[in-house]
Amino acid sequence: MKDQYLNIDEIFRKKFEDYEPNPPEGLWEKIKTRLPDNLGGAGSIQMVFFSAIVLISLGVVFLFTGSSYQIDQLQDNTTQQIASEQITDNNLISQTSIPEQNNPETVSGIEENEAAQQSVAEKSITANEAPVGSGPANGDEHSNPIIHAPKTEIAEKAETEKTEIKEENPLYNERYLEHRISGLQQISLPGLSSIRNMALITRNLDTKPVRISYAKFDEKPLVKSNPLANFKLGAFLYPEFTFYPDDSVSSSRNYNFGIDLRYYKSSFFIKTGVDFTIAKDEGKYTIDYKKWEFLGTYQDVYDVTFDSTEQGIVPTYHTKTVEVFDSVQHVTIRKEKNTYTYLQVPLMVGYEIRGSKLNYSFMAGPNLSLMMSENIPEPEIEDNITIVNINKEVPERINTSWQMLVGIGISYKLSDNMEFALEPTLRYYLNSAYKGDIITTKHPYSVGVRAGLLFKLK
Amino acid sequence: MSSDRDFIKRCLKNDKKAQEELYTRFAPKMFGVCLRFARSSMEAEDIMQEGFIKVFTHLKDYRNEGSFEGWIRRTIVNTAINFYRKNLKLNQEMDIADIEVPNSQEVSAIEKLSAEELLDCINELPDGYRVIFNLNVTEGYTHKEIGKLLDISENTSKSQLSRARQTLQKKLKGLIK
Repeated sequence: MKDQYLNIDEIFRKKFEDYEPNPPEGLWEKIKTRLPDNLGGAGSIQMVFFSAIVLISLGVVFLFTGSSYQIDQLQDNTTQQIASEQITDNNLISQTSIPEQNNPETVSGIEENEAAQQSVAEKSITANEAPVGSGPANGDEHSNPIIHAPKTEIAEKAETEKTEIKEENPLYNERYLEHRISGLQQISLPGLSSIRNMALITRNLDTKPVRISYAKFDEKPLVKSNPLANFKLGAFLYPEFTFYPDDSVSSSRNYNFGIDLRYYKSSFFIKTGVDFTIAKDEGKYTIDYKKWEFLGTYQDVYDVTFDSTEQGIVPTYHTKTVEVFDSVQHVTIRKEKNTYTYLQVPLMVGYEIRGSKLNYSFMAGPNLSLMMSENIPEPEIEDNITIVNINKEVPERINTSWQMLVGIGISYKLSDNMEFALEPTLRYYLNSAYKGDIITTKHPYSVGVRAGLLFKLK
Repeated sequence: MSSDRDFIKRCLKNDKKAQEELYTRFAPKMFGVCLRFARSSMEAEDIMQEGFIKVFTHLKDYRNEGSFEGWIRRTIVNTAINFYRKNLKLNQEMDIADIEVPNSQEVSAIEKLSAEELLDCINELPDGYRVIFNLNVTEGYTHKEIGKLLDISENTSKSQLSRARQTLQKKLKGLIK
């Protein structure tokens, strides 16, 4: 039975031995268009550098063009901008309505009629605060068109401070202090700042003032917000599972360590940073080799001697045993672990909902992965064999790949400056992580949960 | 071997002529391999395309050990295996003794069939049968090697080959009648 099968097998083998059909026309043209520009491998470095520079530049532009000076904006009388912001502060100001500039009706409406005040409050005033910024006080001497607050608690506090500073530091002249109080009143305008701004202002009140000449005072902003206050620095450690839609590559586990830098503008933020990733693949080698194998022995005649005997001349054959070896072809499969190290540069835009203890955020954006190093161990090969060919079964990874990241985050405030954050993240590969394989058209994806700490920079 | 080496070097230096020459030299033989592993000529074309892209992109890894044609052939075969890997359902085993064998008259009739006719029969086999039949019979892999390559047991490989032969036999009988 086996012999007959072997016959059939032999028929197939012989028929196909020299079977060389013409390949379809135009196939080479298709292949040609899909070949990489540089088969030798060089040149991709240029692309890596170009991509890195573009991404980093974009990040820098986004981060540093948006740094804000809220007080400057106030002094520029940008009332529309003022109206778009909010104040929520300690016992001084909650949210206020947005009165028209120098509108006496509004002033009287608020100052004289408590009911009217309530109606304004329905719109935007909260708590028991006196409304501020609703118009200049009677007989206001300021020519500055910015809306000034009536002398409320803030003004009183400022007056007190004026006295204190004057007593503490005689170098301060009256004009400076007036300017400062004026600035404070301006700052108290409706819908002006966030908690952060107020914190800055009050901090400024509480700290010892620096010596500034009056001449400089008119040229430069009175109070400059600390741009670092809008930044958060994060350190994250996280595992990530990558799934491939093709069975030829098994799912892999990556380990990441990342440092984030986030810039906040109101509730929105931009996130960038660097992540270091270690990824591992199950490498498979098919090794064709020839091995010398023992086939048997034969007797080799190395000498013949002739002896004269009574029967005549008798030959004597001197022999030695010779072992016979021949090379036999084999194929074996070896498995190895390939290790890759990546530098990842994300650039994400997000939105944060802030609570008293917990913050929730959503973020999305592109990520550039740059391969820093790869360790593809050579398969272990026996000494007494001759390698015919070694073929890598697992496709190699490409040096640069782009992914789209989408994440949600929850962070718990451990202190004023520190948060513990958990961020489940989905990564979708925009191009395959592997070189010219059939999986180039199939996109891997990965899921990971980033866990780490966020620090406010002040 | 040294001419192969120069040829490969030229290809790696993006010599378009050398690349086309490489394709022209090996394409007919490799397309024959693709046709055997594929279900149709369309799929064979896809495998051929992906296989040759793999050949070119991995060309820098070729070590000049063993025959260049053998290396290309193995790359094409691996591409074909990966192409059908998802469809390979190789967990059934069967009793080999139950299979009928062709008699000598049938064997000689089969000998007279053309390569294209035999190819049609192979193409109609289910993916798993076809891949194992091709690997064992036309590519010369042992069951142990097939087992390692496809992550299956040797026995599964053997039983799949028996099923492939049985199915082929039926088809061939139909052809020679």
